[in-house]
Amino acid sequence: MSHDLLTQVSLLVRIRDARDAAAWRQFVEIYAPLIYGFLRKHGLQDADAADVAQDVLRTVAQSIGRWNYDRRQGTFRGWLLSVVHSRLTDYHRRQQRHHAAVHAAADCVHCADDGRSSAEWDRDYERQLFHAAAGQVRGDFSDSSWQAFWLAAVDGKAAQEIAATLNITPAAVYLAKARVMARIRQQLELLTGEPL
Amino acid sequence: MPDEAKLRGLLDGTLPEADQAEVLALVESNRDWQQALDRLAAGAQTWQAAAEHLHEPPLAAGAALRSAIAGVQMPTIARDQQPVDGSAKLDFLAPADDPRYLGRFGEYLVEKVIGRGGFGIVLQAFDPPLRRIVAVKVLAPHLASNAAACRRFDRESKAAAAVIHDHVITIHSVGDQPLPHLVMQFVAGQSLQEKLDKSGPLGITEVLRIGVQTAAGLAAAHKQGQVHRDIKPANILLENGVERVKITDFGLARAADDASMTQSGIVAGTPQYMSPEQARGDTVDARSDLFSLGSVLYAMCAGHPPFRATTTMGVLKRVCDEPPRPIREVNPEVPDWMAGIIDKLMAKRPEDRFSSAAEVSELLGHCLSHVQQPSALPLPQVGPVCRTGPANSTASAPQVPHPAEGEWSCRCLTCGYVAPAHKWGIVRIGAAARGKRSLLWCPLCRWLRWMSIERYSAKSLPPRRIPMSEEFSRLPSASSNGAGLVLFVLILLVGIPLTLLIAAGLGYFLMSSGSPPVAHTLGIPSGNTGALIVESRDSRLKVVIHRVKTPSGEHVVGDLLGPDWQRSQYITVPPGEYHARVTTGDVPVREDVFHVAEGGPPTTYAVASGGTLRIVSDAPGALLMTLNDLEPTNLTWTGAADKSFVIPEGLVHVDLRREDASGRYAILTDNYFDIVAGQETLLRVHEKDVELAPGGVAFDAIVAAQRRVQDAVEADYAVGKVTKNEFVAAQLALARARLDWATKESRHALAISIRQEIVALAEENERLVRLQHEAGRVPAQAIHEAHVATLKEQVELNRAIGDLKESGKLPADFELPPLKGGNPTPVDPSVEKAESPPE
Repeated sequence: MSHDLLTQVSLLVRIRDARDAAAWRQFVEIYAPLIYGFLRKHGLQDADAADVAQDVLRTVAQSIGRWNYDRRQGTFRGWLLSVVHSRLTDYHRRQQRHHAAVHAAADCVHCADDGRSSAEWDRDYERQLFHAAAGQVRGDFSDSSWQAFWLAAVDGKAAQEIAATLNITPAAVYLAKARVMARIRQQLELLTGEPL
Repeated sequence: MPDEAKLRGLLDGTLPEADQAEVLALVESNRDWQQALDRLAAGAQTWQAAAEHLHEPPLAAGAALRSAIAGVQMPTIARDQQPVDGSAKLDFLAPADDPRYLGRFGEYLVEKVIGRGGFGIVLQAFDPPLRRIVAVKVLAPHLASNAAACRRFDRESKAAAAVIHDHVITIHSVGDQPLPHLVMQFVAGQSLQEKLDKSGPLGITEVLRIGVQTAAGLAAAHKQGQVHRDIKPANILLENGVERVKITDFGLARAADDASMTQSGIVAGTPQYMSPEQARGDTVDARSDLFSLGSVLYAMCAGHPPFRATTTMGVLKRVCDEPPRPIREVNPEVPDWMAGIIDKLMAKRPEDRFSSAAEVSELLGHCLSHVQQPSALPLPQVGPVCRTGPANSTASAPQVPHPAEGEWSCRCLTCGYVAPAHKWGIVRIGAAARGKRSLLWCPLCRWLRWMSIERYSAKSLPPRRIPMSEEFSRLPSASSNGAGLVLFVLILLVGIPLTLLIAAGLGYFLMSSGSPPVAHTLGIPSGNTGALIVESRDSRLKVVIHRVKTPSGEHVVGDLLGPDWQRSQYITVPPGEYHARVTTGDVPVREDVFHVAEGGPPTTYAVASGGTLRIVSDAPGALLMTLNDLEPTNLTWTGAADKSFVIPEGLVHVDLRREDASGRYAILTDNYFDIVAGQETLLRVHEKDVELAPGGVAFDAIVAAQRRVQDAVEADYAVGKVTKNEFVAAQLALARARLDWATKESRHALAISIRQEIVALAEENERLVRLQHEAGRVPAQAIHEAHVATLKEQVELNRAIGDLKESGKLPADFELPPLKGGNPTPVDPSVEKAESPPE
């Protein structure tokens, strides 16, 4: 399939096309650490978290074609979280068979901290997406533009100071900062199919 | 004031060089300009989020995670599609003694994987007895278990092996052990696709050289009765060095198609190069390959395929309905005559194309000679090019493939068109739809119709055609019980005429019949008037309506003709007998006689076209119309007056009610219906992703989203994946979205009623949580939280009413309207059972 056709389509739409292996890899790159991190925070050991993350990804692969997420509400992240919860519950159930006693405690922990974990989830979700988007557009800019953006937008340095450090004009700093940000924003929209 | 247009230009690099210095100076010196530039780049929230998130390092994947996820591919939807990277399963290979090889396939030593497609995998292998390198195409293991696919693969491979030509890849042998496969000549080189990806548009000599050879290869195959069906740049191999063309994959598209559609419902193949007849699912012949060849020539000249869209269905629609962008607009260097040849090859109607690949090859050969020696050889004459506009013309009438006895088939309940289910145009029928009725696209009516999906039996109902007049003759005898029943059907597809018929009193939907579907003439009889509706996209169409048997003799009532066709036109006529004659380019297409009865039941009908809904009624009285659940509009008719409404493009959903009559609602999308099959998928409707432009269409998006959620939930419920809680949560989210919209649009009464809905949903949620607690699945804490959430919503509702009354936006005596029904969202009661997640 031709490339320019695909780049118009958001990642979440692209991964529905099973032939688009690149999209799936990209998806896994972004979301797997997020899911894994979440599971670790919920007390799973390294290997278990990796296994459950694998289950989650498998579920996503199986269901994404059927899930029409609501773009306006950004339900995808919510949906993904619900998949994570559901696989986590499965995991606890499996554990329960082995250690009946442990289960109740584990399940309750998982139920009770939903509110907090969803805020955490949202934060990590956005963090992953920002990094992915930034990584993907990095190559479109020169080093000095990129540094100007980073120093200005991320580190919050003043334009004059950056201009002096990078030996460019302050106007170039403002421009680089805005241009990079605009590209990142577009890339985010392309990744999620929605404004963040 | 900062000049936003200039700043935007600066941002995206379109600002003229001359203005740049000036704008940059302003940005540098002026805080307002800096802020405006930042604002254009991203919203304040995004800036803040970027700073916060990018400041932190990204989450990292550890080694355990890496190895765990490496194996997760897209299993279900992709059952027949292997991943493209090298890590795919090759577990069908036997181990090879020599470690330099990946494994052994039969007697062949596999060196590497060189390609993959819908049907399986292509291996580069060494053939020890003959000491040569071959390419082995292996049918994917999951397809190998599908008897039909195997037979098809075997048959097509053997047929392809019979074609021996310099420009067709040579097939050495065909076998079925250990998996069905075919062994063919190995071509070292690249595909035309790769070449185009690398170098972009090709020069005219190059285009002609590849075109001549491809056409010659096709001609040889066509002579053997072989149709390729999947001519595209990826299937045209260019040998290293000489770049000699070798066409590969003859007939295999069909084998893959057979298998994939029963499994996944994904349209196999690359749609960009498909012919319109293929895209529609009609039978194809050699001329289909000519269309694809035209598309390939186009791609060589343009650097990209002629038809592009963001979705497969979008591409298919364009292939069927739209002319490609003129090639000379894309690449002005393409000579006129080349554009002419491409146009003729890409004619929508097969008979407008060249007659054979041999002819094309010869013609392109002459052109090539001319290009190489312009002075010595004149340019050959290209026959008259018929540039067809919209595709939908007389000759493209779909052929009716007869289903086999007992095969799943679709029968159009309107026109009787029957076809095997899998032949249903671009629509695939899922297992879940079997034995049911579905709204599907009827190729004969060229309309969405209710179709019965049933096992075909020649005895039950053979394909039939109902003459229009016969249908009409039955009408006057129909009882006029005037119960005020309102029926309506509103169905639309983008680019396809849309008709909304609403008959009040006694409803009749008279859809057209017969073939070819050049025009539908629909009549609606009524008390005082009848309506004749004509739909077509053929601009040559002319319709003349005579009234027959009037006291003064025959006279012309109406005369509808192109090129002002709006795709759908109607005229109203008084009771009487009429004769409608439809011609296209002076060729008679059809004739209908119809009768408009006097004193029949009153009629209301509407025609929607190009964003306008026209409603005509001769049943006086008030009619309540609601579009997309917005505020109801009261319509009052007197006599045959008609009214027009501008309807939003996209998703439209119309409710009409008269007095005590209730009606079903219809939801309509602007795109396509695609029924996806699959083991786990219920009947589903996909819409195009709705664009969220500022203002205007937001509500459409919400309605669409609501529907999607309902669909998704239904589907997920069917496989035990979604609980009632999740459904309620989704409904809540959507109701909030609608609330946002209503608040923004200052539709206060609507906002209040949505808030009421939200309260009801919160109560529903609370009830579910209680049930779950009883079942021991959630702690008591959850009930408490759910209850607090409900209370919060109630407080919000009361506060909102209070505020609005205080500010005068609601009358002081405003009272909450009664909530429609008990449950705000009618849910299949069986969903209730889904509360427990599946084990």
